[in-house]
Amino acid sequence: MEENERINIRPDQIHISDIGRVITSVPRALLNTIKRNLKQHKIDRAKAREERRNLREQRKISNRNRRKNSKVRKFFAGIINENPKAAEKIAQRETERDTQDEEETEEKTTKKGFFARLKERFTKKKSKKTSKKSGKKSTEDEPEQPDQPEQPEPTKEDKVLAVFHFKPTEKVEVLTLLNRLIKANKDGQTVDLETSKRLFKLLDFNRKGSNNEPIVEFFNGEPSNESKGKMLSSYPQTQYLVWEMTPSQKSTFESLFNSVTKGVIEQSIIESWTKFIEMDNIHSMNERMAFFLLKEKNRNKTYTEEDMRNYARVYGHKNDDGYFVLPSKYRDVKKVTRVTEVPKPNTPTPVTPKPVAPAPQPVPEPVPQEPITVSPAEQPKPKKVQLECAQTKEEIMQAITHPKDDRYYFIVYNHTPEEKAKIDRVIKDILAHKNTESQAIDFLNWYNVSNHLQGETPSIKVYSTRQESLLAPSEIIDLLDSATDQILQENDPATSIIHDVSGFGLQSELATVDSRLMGVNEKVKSILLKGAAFGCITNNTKRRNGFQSYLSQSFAEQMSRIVSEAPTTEAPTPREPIPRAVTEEAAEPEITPIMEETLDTQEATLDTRRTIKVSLSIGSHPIGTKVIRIPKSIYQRLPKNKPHHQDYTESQGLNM
Amino acid sequence: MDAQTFKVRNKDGNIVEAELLERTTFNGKDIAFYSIDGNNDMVDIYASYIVKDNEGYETLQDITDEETLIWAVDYINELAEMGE
Repeated sequence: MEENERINIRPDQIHISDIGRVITSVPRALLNTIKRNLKQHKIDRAKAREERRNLREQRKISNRNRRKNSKVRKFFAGIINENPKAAEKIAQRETERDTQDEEETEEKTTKKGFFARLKERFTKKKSKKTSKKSGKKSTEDEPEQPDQPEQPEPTKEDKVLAVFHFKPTEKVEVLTLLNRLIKANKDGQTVDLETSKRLFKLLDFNRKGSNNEPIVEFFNGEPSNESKGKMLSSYPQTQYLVWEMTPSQKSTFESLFNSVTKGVIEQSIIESWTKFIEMDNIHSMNERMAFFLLKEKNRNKTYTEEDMRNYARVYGHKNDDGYFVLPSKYRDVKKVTRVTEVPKPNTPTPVTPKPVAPAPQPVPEPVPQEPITVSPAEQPKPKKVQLECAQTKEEIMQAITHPKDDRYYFIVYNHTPEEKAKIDRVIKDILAHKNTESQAIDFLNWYNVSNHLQGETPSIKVYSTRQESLLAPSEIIDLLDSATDQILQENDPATSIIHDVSGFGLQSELATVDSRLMGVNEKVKSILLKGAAFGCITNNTKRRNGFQSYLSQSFAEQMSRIVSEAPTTEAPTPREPIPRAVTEEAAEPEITPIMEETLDTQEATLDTRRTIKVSLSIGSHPIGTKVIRIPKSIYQRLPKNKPHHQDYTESQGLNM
Repeated sequence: MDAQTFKVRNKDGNIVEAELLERTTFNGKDIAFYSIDGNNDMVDIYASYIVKDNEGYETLQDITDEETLIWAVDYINELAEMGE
């Protein structure tokens, strides 16, 4: 690097407080490519400078010559004055010459010119490589294939980009449903009605977000820098889905969506949807790289398997099999593990309750009248998750220092019963915003891994299990529950605390705890005292709002899921485990108006819903209540004699 | 000459090493592109303004101007897109 290309940083400066903006995250291999291209860019810039200098010189010379020639022109002036047409021609020729000079200079010196030339070079290189491999002449030299009728790709101007702004959970759902659609298409089948309906609803062009703003924006052709800027700056947290279509496809879908909005949902329309949709034209990306990858796709670039995995991790695009890979960002709705065989459609499959923790639990009252039909959208839960456990210091260190991105990790902290009781008390205080400074420091100490590795026997274990991408959020949570249950079976719930993190976040998670502990200062203490510490040392954004709301929200979501998955017209079945944190208040239900925030209002009807009040607790500490509405069929499955304040944390695997 | 490296404090408070990729100008302002190792074999690429302090040393400052930011994103993306 030349001296004038370096930054003159103060020699003793060890850090710069203002770290700047992350432009992008790339796999290391791609960084090397960028470096190489930068180097080439520099060489080309130097050449461009040289050319610019030469051009300037040439211009000077030509100007000098022109000035000299002016004498000659003056000589002809007499003639010109008498012939206006000739004067016009001369002036025109001069203007053309000037414009041409300027264009040449500009093309050789601007960024666009550089990139255009660089692209051209790479294209040439690539076509040479291809021709070498195939042993054929370069396509540039070949005449056009006469037997292949030209099917012109729609130009950029002929395309419409529909850019959807989803909430992360919605995005996961869309990708999961699209994966089902892709699978069905591959198998030559149509997807089930529910999946189609749900996709319609999520991708509906008429849909509005929570602020009553449309969730979809349309761009004709290539979006301008202004549009890209708007996306980059206005929606930093939003995850995008870009659907590329022709104007005629857009209008077809518009009319379909309008029909659906008006309530005309017919099987035939839904079937046409599954055949009509062009899967290759839907892109799932994060906002920063959406358009970058659109271009990538068009270049037919091939990647190594490792590259593909890296891209999938960052951008959430399709894998080699053509399925969308859920991006790591969505692991908040985690976790665990393996894909089960999809049951054949229309095969009655009674689902058994999942394995449970050793703690005594109320058994769901089975009141089945007939077996429930499980569609591919509602897969049975696997009973056993394959877990690996690191127990020795070496194994734990290996797992922590080299976590794998395709695994989920569970750190099990083993405490003495007294310590666990103390932790319970601190949690209670944090929730009540009453914790003290010493409690805050204790709290960080309990989660500091190095503290648990002191002594001969580590007081933590690290479990891990593989994750897969084709699971719906509800399936992921079910599998997380199963894994947690298994872990609890191996560990004493009275002394264990499970902290679950994805491989992606494991190191930063632990580093955060460690750094916070090392630098316990007034600021950290104040954060802890506000009760936010719980959220800060977990890797779950939902928990950042506090443990109580997290549990309440999770529980409400769990219940909503049961509600939405249960067919309201079906007889009650023991398909789902019964939430154990239901108080006796549920035994005295009353019919109240529908609460929109917990229900899908389209499906809810007064005569099939019941309102119940549930209470939540951590250990023996009650942390709040939630009023929700559930279908009558679910309500009938609730156990009638339940103890108060079941330990929801342990039972649902939602420990810290 | 080797690539220039310098220390930065990341948002977690840790001091990490950054590698200067390029120093360039846009709209008359000096811009630095630099990389910092991320997790799992990923690398984060940053862009900052280069600003001289009172003593003539240079410091990095966050880019707040949208136009520059868009240019920076496009610039790196274009370079990445070139491929091998």
